[in-house]
Amino acid sequence: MSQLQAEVTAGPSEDASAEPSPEVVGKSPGQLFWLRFRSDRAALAGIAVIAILVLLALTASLIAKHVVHHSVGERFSDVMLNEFGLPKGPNAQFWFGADRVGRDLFVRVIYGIRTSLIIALFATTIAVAIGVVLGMVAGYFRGWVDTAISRGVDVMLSMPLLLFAIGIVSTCSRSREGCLGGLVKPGVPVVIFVIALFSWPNIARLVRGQTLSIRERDYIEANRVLGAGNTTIMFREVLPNLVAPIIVYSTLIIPSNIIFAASLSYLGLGVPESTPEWGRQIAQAAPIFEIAWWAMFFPGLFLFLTTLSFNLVGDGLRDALDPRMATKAARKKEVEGSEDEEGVRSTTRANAIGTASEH
Amino acid sequence: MRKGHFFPVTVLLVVLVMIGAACGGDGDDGGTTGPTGDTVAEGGGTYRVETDGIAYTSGGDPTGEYLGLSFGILSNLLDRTLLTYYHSGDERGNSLVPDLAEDFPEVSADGLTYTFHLKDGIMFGPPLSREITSADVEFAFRRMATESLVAQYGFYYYGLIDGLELGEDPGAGGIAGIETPDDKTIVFHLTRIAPEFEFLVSMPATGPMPEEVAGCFTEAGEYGRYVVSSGPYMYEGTDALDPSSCDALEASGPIAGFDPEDHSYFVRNPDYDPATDSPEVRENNVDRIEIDVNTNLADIFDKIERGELDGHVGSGNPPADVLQRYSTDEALQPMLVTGQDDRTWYITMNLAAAPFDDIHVRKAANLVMDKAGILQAWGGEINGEIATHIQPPALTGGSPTNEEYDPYATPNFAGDVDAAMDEMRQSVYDTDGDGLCDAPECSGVVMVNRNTSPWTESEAVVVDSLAQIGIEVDVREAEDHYTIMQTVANEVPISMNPGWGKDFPDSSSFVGFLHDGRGIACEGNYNYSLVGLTEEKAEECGIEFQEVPSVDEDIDNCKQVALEGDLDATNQCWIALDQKLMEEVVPWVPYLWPLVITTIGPAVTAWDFDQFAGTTAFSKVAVDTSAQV
Repeated sequence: MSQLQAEVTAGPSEDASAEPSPEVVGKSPGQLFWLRFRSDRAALAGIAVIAILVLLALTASLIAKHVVHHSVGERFSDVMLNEFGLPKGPNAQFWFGADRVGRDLFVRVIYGIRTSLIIALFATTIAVAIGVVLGMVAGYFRGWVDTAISRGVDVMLSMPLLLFAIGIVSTCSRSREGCLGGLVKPGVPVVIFVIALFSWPNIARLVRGQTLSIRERDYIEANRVLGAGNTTIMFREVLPNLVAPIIVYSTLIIPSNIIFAASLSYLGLGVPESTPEWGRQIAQAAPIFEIAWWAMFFPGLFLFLTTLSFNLVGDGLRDALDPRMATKAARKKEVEGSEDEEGVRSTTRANAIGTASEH
Repeated sequence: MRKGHFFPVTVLLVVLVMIGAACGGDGDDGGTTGPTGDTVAEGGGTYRVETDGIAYTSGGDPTGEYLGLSFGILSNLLDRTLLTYYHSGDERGNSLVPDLAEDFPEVSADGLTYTFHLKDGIMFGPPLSREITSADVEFAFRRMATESLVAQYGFYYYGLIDGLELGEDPGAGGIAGIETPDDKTIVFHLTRIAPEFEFLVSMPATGPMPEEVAGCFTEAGEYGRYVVSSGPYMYEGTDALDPSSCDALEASGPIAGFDPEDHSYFVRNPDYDPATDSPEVRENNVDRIEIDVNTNLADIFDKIERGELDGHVGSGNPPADVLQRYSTDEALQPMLVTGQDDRTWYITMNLAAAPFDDIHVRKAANLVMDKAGILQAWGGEINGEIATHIQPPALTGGSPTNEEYDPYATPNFAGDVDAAMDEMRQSVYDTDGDGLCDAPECSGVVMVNRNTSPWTESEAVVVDSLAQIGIEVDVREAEDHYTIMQTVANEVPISMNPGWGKDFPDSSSFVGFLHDGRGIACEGNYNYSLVGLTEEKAEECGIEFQEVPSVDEDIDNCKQVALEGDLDATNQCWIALDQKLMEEVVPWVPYLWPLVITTIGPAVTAWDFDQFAGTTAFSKVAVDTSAQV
């Protein structure tokens, strides 16, 4: 369902001597989105940081080999560990110093970006896929289907998250085959599985609520009358209207999932020691923080920047994609508008969008 | 603050909290000195200790306790055995001395009968306050024979003492090989000559136990919180127990001064007579000993340094930063104390699991291993010596040291990749002869490890080393690592978690025990490498049988040599077995003979190391109460 923008043209002034009102040109939803988003400097900063992190993740091996000349698992015990096996700090060759076993911490930290992003993105994708399907089915069909799925969501949300996660990861890590008949292998896969398992209920609940609202609209009934099947209606009429909240929510749970993965690694679970991961790095650094501050500071800093950036981007997307969910400040800014921008005032725009979404 | 920014700020706060937790304490360094060892021990006061965890194997029940710390508590404080050790770290540390017995046993000419006469005046403490008899010693052996009580090292005695087998409690007089002709005499009849028997009657599980109390508990771990002392101390609150009946006993307990998960408080046993003991064995200087659990290891050592505690006990050495601080500060150096652990930490390889079923792979693993890197990950040379063979030299008279015998010597113990690759070329798992393990069995090799320091730090060294010869390990860090390893059916190819400390200072409890194929158990196994595995045992344990070397005959031969009483010949036999294992069987990559290291507080005026238990000699500590914080 495309959203059409009503074209508003000001009529001639009764005072013939007054200047004619400027012609107003409508903007597409995409343009409106970008207009709002690009005015959010915090969100732009978040985008920039994420872009840098992704670039670092993609080029980590090149940086390690050609810039720093240290590989990710290479130990420099002779030069970067003292006689008590404690690491030495930043210097010209080791920009972030060494970790607990004498490896280049800078290389380990930028490789850790890969681990965190891979886990978070895969887990989020799986959780969103599951949550959207189940939420949509529950909200659309209602009745016993809704009841069954909603109770399942309630059960999952009432579970002690971390305890179950610890138990599942521990159990599935005991053998090479993992669990579920080898479907969930130890290491990164089991972490992704656990995070996805405990993330889908929230999005299912969100999508269910949105679907309950959308299914009552006239155009949905119209499609039904025209003979469209339930599946067609769900995926061609309902789902497109869920894109905005799904994107926003997905962006906002990525940092949560990064923290979840880091928490499991901090407890020594899931990701093996050889795989760079910020949570594990922080855990190893904690006992020696007083004498090796860098070992905790740099992974902690990257963890903080990554989660902050995704949150800023998520906030910005939310404000830009769905004005009805925009914050009070954002709405005020739209109402006041910008004097050198052509176009209708945001109140009219918002109403037009709301109207245009319904046939 | 925008709602959406709340979360990352929370992350920042969490990181700051972690930083704060890592800092610990109030930043006020102790740094005060305290005289240790050179001054006359003062009497009285409380010796205050914290532990990051006492891994009780049976809730404190002497029948089932099998780790060094509980050995130290029992042997020093609560449990007098027929023979005991000097509870010291000097040359007498591994020597026996009569304790409950008047003297060493009378041994029959055929070496099969041992007769002990008990001292007069040795009493059980409250609530019994009665003299110990030979029947109480016999009862201890009856408890070892009772299957439900899970005597962790009962295997030393089953079949050795005539009629002592695992099953039901045989009842008074029910073990044919144990006679108690009178209250002060106990006679053991053995089925075979056993030179190590005197060591066996020094183990805490053989200490006297009162049947009227211990007999009320028939399951493993239950008696621990009702232990009646025969030693110089008792658990605080033991006198509140009502022994008139089992019901009254349980109603009046458990002992308030002992909670295995939280604390152990000891006070003097009023029925202990120092005249029946020797100050060389137990000095009993302090009036009270407190052991509390504190999971924050950094906090424990901070408290010791500030004088709020007098010591630490636990399964590991102080963190590397504490070792560095104490080693480099002249004022703190006297309060860093050590003892020889008589232990080997090692990487074990399963001879029945690929790719370690090929001896060339096992030899290559020994050649490539960066043992110096492992030691550095443990905190440096202060933690002990690099191990080059199975058994610590102390068990065979101090040799061979790692300089005297290293069958896989590499420069600076850092590993020799070239030599390892030369060895690997001879392996069937190097299909192209390039010196790297490249068969499918060489990747994804499961390796079990602990999830605690310093094993997690040294893990990278082991993984890297093996990778250099093409073995890609898939590490499994687990809290229940020993359970995983001890279950044969798990077929774990390699693990870096195990270590073995002597049960008693005789090679039969070390190299002669760990690689005896007849000792392989499907559950609770200690022969992780499955040396001497038979087809029958493989079938019983549910694994595929492979021909593996056996040293059972060599073990029997050394035990036979030991019977002849020539200590030098005995040591040479065990040394030869050690060398055969390292060169012809290669079950392990031994890497460390550790020191037990700990710090003591500035108020400690006397401290000794219990060589038998590998921990603080609790019966020989003393404190200056005026210096305690």
